[in-house]
Amino acid sequence: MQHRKLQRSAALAALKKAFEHFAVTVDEGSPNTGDHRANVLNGIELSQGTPVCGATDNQGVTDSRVRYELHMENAQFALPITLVTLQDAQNALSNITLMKAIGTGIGNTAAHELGHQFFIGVGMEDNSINTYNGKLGCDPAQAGSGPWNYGFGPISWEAVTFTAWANALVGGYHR
Amino acid sequence: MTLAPNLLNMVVGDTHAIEALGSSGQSLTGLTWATSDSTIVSLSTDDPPVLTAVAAGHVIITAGGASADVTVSAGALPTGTVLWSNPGPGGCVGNIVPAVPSTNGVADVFAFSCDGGTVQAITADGQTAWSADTSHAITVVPDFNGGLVVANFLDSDHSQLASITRLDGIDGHVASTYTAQSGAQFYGLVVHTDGTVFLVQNCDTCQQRSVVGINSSGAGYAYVPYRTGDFPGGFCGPAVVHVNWHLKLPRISSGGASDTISIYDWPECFGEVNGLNVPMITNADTGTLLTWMMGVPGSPDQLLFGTALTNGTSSTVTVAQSVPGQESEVTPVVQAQDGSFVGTVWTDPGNGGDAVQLMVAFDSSGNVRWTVPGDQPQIATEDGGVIGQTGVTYDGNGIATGQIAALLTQSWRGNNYDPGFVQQIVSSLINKAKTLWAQLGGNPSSKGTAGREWDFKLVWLNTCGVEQPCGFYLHPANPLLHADRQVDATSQAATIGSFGSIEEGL
Repeated sequence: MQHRKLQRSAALAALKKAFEHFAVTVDEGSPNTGDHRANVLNGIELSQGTPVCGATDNQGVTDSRVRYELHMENAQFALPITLVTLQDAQNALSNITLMKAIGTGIGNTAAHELGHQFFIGVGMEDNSINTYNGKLGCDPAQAGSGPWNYGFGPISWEAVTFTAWANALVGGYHR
Repeated sequence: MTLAPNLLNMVVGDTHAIEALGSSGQSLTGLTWATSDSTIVSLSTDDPPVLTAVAAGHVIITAGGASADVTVSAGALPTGTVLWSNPGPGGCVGNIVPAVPSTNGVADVFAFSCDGGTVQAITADGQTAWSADTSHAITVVPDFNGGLVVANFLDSDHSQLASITRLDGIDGHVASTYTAQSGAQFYGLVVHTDGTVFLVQNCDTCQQRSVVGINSSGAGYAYVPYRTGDFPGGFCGPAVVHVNWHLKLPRISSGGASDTISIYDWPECFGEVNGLNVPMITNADTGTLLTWMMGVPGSPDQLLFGTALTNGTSSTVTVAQSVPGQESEVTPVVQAQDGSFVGTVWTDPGNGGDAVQLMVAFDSSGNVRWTVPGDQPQIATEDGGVIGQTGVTYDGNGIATGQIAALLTQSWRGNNYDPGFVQQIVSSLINKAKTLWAQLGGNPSSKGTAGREWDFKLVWLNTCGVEQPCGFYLHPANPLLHADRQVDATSQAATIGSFGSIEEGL
């Protein structure tokens, strides 16, 4: 279970770091807890024929989907680690760096999708690059993106999204 | 122009203030006021007038083209009735935050516009006392003097901190300004009851984090836990370095003096990667309560759970499971004045099922008092109980005593507001909040922090990756593998294995 613990710890750390400037508490939760959620699910979600790491239906919703499997694959590429046999894949579960990279990717994608619960287009448009504001940020093989999503680069919102977050989260929240 | 409040529910014999506001929220005078039926609601000759409920019925109050609906009832207003409604800044309210009562402030709550660019101080009777610009605000925290502390971003780079300003509680003017160091970002903003504003500042040029105290005037403290390590020499194995790690808690006073409280020490072999997460709240005016989870040194697949209570510069540490099957550190959430506290923890149900989150109550020594599955503490109440996120109310023994329809925003004066509007509601809540929200830092729990933070959750619902390594690419057989992904596995080995620093903030 060490691999699971490492992934979850890295994911939570990445998500917390994404919101460290703001009045936001980030924690693991269960369905329908907290104000907003990123739900980690199994497989690849197709969006216009392209597999995506995460999805959010509309601005204003409180749940997003983060697809586990694609992060598992992309983290392998980002490091990079080449696996040839099924035994290699099994052994990879004890690769601490890979497990942390998978978790970091999931946490960063979760931050991105939580952003879309507040902003789609204005405040957070998906054609920007180089931060986890970026459209293809989860895929380290795509031009304009990079392996930063898996723990190799600076974690920062682009200015326009940082500002949008600041305005949306200002004053905290209370009910 | 609008009237504030623009909706009122009154009982015969009540009196209530009303005002007219201009487009920027300024109070207007010299208008002609009228009531549609003075036998139901009469107006005084003041400017603006005071309303008096004379008899049951409904009237329209007008002034300068704006109007307000007023309904008068003969008897007590039922639970859920809107006592008054204020249109709020720009007619769209993003959120409201309780103001701390003070002779130096007039607000009961602060209302932020939907775009976050404006804040209004709303009084307990629904009037707008003042408006202020928050269009450059990164975060805003009510202080304990009736005002607001605002962290503002830099125009040229919105991720950088420009200044910390304090908005006066009486009229909202900028009472003081701290100009941040060039290139600074900040992590955490704590407003102490004594007036000191603490922030952890990080800047690119100085390559270090520092704790900054602003407007220091008392004897408060801020706490910043961090982990540091040293290399005593020797190896755990071939090329595996032995490290002694230390969890430390610097305590910085309002005057800038600092102590470092040692919390926990452990040896580790570089490579075991014992992750560390340290939630912390204040501890009944004496210090802090912090918890952590880490791998057991030498056997990182096993989990170690710690709790530390600090008092002054000393700490009492307990390393033990709090509940059977514990899978996470205890996250302390609310604490009562006697030092007892309520938090959450994840547990393994032991039947192969998903982890279960428990709400756990502790006494002041950290001993478990009771647990409740499937809920999270939101508000500690005067009777020693707690209100859960589900709206269930629990007494001091964790026994469910009722269910409230919705969690309202409660001001420090005990007034209840509908979140998303500036509407004061007749509530069935009989227990005033004892502690609204405890926040990382030095705020004494007797007053807590006005307003709670947003709560974002990462929810693990996947089975893939939990029991099986599904999804790894196998080179080169996997047909999905891009050609450009066929890379040398060793090319970045040096980067992967390097550790740039032995000291890190938490």
